[in-house]
Amino acid sequence: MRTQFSNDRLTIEVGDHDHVQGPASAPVTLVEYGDYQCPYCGQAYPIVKRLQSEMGDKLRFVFRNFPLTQVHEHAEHAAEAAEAAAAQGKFWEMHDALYENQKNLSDDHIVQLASKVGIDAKQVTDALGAHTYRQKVREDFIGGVHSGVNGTPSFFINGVRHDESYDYETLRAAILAKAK
Amino acid sequence: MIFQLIYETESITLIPMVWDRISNLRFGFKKLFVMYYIYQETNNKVFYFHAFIYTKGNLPRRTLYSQNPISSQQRGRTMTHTYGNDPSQHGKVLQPGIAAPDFTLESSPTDKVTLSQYRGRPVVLVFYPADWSPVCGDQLALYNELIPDFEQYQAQVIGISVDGVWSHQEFAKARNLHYPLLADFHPKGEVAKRYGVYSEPEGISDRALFVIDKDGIIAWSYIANPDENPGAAGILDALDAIAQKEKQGS
Repeated sequence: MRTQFSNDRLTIEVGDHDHVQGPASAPVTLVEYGDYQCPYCGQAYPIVKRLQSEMGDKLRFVFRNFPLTQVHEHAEHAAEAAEAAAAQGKFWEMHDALYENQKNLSDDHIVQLASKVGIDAKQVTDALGAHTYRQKVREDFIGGVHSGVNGTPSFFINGVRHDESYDYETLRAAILAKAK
Repeated sequence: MIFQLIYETESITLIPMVWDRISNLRFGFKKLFVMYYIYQETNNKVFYFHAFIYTKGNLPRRTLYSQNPISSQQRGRTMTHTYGNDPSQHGKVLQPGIAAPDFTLESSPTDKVTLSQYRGRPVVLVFYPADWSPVCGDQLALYNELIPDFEQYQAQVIGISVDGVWSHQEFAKARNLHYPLLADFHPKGEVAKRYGVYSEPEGISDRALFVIDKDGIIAWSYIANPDENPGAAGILDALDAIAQKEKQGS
């Protein structure tokens, strides 16, 4: 029997195409593949925030898109809207707003959220209509698949997939183990 | 002996879990064949060993064989594959290079699908244990998202389980799945058995992937832990390898 294992290392290095919080010099880089409409990602959101505030410059956080568009009807547009926000330098503001308002991600509401965080709403509407950022979202997705992402949220700590739970204690312990 | 060694490695949390699952089986088997895979992250090597477990009353007795020497330095995930009563089934999981057995199964209350109808295109055959279970849902949802990518290889993805057509129909509707789910329902598990991925004790198929090339030959196969979502990296790599091979051949 020939057996092959999914590659559980990050195949796409963190780079200019990424949305990054924290310095490149941080000893730990946490990469999340997430879906804005996925309730589990919604649960992971405050956990990551808490770890970021506790660890400060010791943690670099990267978010990549992994929308399951056939299960979550708003996930694709939410991801594209966050990318549109990135074009206006407000990716993280939009990212946070989307997770904090996860229960209502209709197009209208996404555009309202965009206005609230100070983004030109018309540009977001246009980008959604033209699917300007679909390709970028898709690239994140396929890169994730090649790295063995099989659902959301999927975390990689310093390039190695975190297969354990992402509850606060477990994720914190795994990160601290790499921070030494 | 080997069990002891594994037990000392960092797989410590996984092996007992696997062992519990085996020893909790109450199907009256006399001899159970078990295969463990140990994946070593550091050098991408796969080690495996297999075991025959004999039951005596409710207490399993085990004999273990190792394929590779296993040191306590090894770490990683374990995979299991269990076969039912018949240890002679060992080795019957269809391997690359073998012609994929043809079959015809119902894909809906009114339609049938025959594997060989896809001759000329690669086929991704996804055996999964059951409709509605959470891991299956995620796994099948992932392949659903990847249909455009499979299409770049002209590949057709097909799901297959022992569930009946009506279950498949509702499941596909609920998850918005855009590829056929075949009912290996009657005689139950017949196709899974022919591919060597039927679990007799549980009466369901294993979670197994086969990538079949355009000539109907198995190019790649993978058996996952029932609780593991195997993702799609291996499938895409296999499809890519087929495409590369064809390019070289032409």
